[in-house]
Amino acid sequence: MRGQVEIANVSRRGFLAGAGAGAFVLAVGLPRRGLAQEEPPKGFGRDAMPNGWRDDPTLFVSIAPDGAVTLTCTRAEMGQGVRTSIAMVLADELEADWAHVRVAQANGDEEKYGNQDTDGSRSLRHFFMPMRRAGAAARTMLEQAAAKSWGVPAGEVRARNHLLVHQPSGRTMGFGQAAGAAAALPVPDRETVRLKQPGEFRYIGSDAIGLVDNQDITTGKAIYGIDVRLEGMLYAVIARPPVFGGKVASHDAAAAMKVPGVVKVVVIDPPPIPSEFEPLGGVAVIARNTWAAMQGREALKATWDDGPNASYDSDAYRAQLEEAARKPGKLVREQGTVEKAFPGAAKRVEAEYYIPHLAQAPLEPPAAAARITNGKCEAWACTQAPQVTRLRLAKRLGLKPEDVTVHVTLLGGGFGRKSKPDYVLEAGILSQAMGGAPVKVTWTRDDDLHHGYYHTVSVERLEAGLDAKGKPVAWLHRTAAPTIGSIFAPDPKHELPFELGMGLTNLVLDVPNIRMENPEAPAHVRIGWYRSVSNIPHAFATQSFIAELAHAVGRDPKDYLLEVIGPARLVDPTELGDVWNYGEDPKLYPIDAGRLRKVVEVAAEGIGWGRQVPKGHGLGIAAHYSFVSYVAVAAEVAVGPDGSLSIPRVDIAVDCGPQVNPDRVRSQMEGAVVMGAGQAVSAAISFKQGRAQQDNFDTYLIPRIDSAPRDIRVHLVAPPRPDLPLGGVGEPGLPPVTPAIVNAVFAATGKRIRQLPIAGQLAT
Amino acid sequence: MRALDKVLPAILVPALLALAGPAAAGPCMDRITALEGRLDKEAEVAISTSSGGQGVAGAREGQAMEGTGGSPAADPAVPYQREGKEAQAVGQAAAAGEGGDKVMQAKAALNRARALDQQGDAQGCEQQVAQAESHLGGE
Repeated sequence: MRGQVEIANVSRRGFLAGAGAGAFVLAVGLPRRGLAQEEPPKGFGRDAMPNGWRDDPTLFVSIAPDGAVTLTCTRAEMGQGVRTSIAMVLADELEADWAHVRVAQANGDEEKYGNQDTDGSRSLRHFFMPMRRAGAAARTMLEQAAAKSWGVPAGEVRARNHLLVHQPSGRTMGFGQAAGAAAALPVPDRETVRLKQPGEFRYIGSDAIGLVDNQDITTGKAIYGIDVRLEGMLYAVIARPPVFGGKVASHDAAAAMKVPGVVKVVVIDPPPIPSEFEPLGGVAVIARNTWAAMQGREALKATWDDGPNASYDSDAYRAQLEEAARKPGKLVREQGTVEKAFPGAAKRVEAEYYIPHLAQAPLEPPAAAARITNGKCEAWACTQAPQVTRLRLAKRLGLKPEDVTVHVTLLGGGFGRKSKPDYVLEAGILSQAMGGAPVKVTWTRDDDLHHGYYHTVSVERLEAGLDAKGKPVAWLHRTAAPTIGSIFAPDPKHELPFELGMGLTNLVLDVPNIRMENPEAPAHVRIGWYRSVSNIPHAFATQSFIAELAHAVGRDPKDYLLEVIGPARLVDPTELGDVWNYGEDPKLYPIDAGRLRKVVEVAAEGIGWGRQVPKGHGLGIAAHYSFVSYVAVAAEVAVGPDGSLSIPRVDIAVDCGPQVNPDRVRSQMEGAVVMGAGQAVSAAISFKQGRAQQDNFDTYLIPRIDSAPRDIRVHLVAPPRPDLPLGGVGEPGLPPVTPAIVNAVFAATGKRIRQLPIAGQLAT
Repeated sequence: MRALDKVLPAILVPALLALAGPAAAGPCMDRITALEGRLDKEAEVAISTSSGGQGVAGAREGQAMEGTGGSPAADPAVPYQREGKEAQAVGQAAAAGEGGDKVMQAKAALNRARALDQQGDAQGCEQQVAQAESHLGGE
């Protein structure tokens, strides 16, 4: 692996070399400029993404003379299994034998491949159909080539499991035999390509396909960003300003330079604010190995100008958010007139909820390597956003984008952190400082927790007026949280429509009078997107509050939740006031209250809702619609006399529409339960004097094997119709987990948790 | 008596209408209906000019909201695609009610107007419709 990193690179040179000289492969020859190369129309979903989508088979399918099929994945693999799922779709329509399929990872090049930005739970949602068409087009070209070589009509030839079969005569030809001739044919018009009927699927919907990277991962052969090694590579760690917006005041590198192995100390300028994806700046120590770099950083003497956020304090800021949430704020949603409904209510309930900053904390911290040779930069990075990485790197280094190549490695977790390529820019900057020598920048865990793009901090205030029967007739919700917009624009004080569209402006409630407001909240740290984003605080607050209302009127929480959701019906999200709808056409993706009710019923049935539980145990339930999927969670907790908390069981029910890879859906839900349990029980980032107080996993507490929910049962709920469009999978499992756990704690103890994490709040 | 016959119905009609409750279709509701069609279209435009990706949505909406009077920022902070194309995308988002922000507020005001109209509060309804129109920049 030394000297040249091979990440199953899909470059023509690498691929043809592997296939053998003179090999005929589907991808060689003139670019297939058919319809797939046209600018996609503006619209919703994948059509609205930067650089749109492609379904040209020559971009995604290569076949060697021996029949080996290489499928190209353009989405970043961070453990969600997208390399496997995308390949399943391509291979299925192609009629390839899975045993002869390998997956290559595309470099960052959206103008060639279409959008590669892997966030928003939309890899399959956006690319399922383009990949089906690409696979089917490749299959069609093979069939046509075989037919031509046999002198028979193309309609008489069918591809079947890696063979081309002339149906009347039974003659066969392998894929490898036909590939060369197929490559010379034009790509068929996408309107004429026959797609399989669902009953014909071989891999799509199957539970039998293991992860393509399993073998490499478990035998240590897989290459993550942090694993990259290049000939002559140097290693760097960076002392960054401890406070966001700060900068180096002075530094003395003398002691650092004396550390054996340290070769240079380089100052990186701080970014302007808004900083978006620019590095934070600081003092980089470059050495011959990572340990020397770390020791050099320890020896470095640096002082800091902490800048405008020097006094940022989580406790004080919480008080500020609470004060803001107790006054009217910017109106973002209204139905009816709450101020007229409240006076007539038989009962009034109010509550405030606090959700702290969180860190994505992917198990692989940010890491990237870069080198510059003859004015061209190559970077190797665990990035969720290869195109942004490429363009930003080019701009920072003063290069043309064509002169920057971003090799996308596997990602050891992402959760949104690796959508921001600041760490890749650091590698490029330091390589440039070293005359183009390869430099790898590694972030330690402390670096990751101290200098993150944190999930926002939030106070959610809710008030409800209930009628004589206990039904809510008035609902007021104020959400005060600094916005992600603060990394893109100067000093915004309100959340963006897409943040509000995550469980606030699109929340389905059977309540006649609803008012939602967004008071001001300035940002003092880098705010970034974290798995499921603003759905976390919104779901925690609304689902906790609904359970509180149920208790206030002596009702069963599950029945009450269903009553508040209301009857099965389709709701146009724009009628509620949502102007984001996850970027999807509201006509194609209305909100289906019936599907939400269904997952509640399934999760409740799964856990045995209503059963007797042992003393100290309690059941809680929550449901949330996000990323155009429907998820409900029922949790059982056990609280000991000393307040110790364990989670014996969680049932999670998901309706994500048709399931391409059920095993991956299960896996994502299981992971979401574990991550949500951490948010509920122990994880929080806090600040004093502008500095994050958590250093490592001894203070930022994520679940360990002994504290994770013991028994997680995933219920895959079929959509009401098989022709419904796909929903997201990566993120929707997370939002209802925390409120379900907190509601279960209340059932077990009578103690209502309104601030996260639970931590020591149950101690007696 | 004939004159009174004519006058009385004229007097009675508004009174009868008031007794019947809010107008099923009055001037304010007409304005709501007219504006609603526009709002529905603008909401869809706002959706399509943002995006399903969190980063792109954050960048486009953030830039769109910060533009003065709805004008997009001259240089988008984040090149998710070539700068000219992304500047165009940010401009489209800004034109779509500042990333949808104005559309969202207009919808809230219009929903409130409808509720007030149903409660017989014509003046309140008119005020909220005016508010909705001001969020959209009027026509």
